[in-house]
Amino acid sequence: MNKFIEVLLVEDSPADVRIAEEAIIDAGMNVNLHVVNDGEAAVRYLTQQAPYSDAATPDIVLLDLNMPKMNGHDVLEEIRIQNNMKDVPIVLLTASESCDDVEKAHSLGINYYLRKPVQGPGLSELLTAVQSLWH
Amino acid sequence: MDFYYIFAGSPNTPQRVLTRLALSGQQKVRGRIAENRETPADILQVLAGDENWEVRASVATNPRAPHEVVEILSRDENADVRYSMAECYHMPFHVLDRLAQDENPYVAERARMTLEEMFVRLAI
Repeated sequence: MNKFIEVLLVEDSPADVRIAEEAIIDAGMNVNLHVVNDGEAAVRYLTQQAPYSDAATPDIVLLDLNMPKMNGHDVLEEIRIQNNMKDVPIVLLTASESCDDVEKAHSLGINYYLRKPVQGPGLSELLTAVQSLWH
Repeated sequence: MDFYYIFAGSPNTPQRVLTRLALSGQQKVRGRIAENRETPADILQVLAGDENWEVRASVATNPRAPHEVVEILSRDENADVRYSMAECYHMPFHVLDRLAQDENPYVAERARMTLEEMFVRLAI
């Protein structure tokens, strides 16, 4: 039996969460999906602060760029300095057409970016590659 | 989408993953690893012995290639590897000087041009 991939989705839009959930189902992979709705919650989750004290380090983070409180760039700045988060693959989710947004995210340590809406086949290939290379 | 190729070229890919990708059966993936400035020196050393000349050329022109690897590849049997090095402005002077006397006239001429350009830049 294949190991489940622990995915943390950081996304404030309920519609985009539903689309990502459908894409994961469409990808046909064994995924445990955890969702937080803003950047501050993402930092608390990834640094195991309350109410996420027992949260395991995810196998991959899908991080929205535009969010309230802290945007994706702010989250990256906070979490890439954490020892347990240096090597965790982080994929930026963005609807932005701005190259600057993506380049800034690369400079802050993302491993890839996906254009929204997330689609099943692309996500499936990505998760397969991450699972085989990182784990 | 070839994620192996994409991750092989990324500066954000962890060294452990780069090492794993260096074992890829795909030449283009190994070539991307050989180009990547974050690839560990010992892995570049392994790729310097790759059967594919394009992979060896990518190692040879990687600014992070160890000195001893550069020395070995500057004597590579494949002229295209040596030509790639002859084009590089970051090559050590003595390596370019040797390449300027290469048995292959194209390699030698290219190395001379690179040296001339370097002297011009130094003079400015």
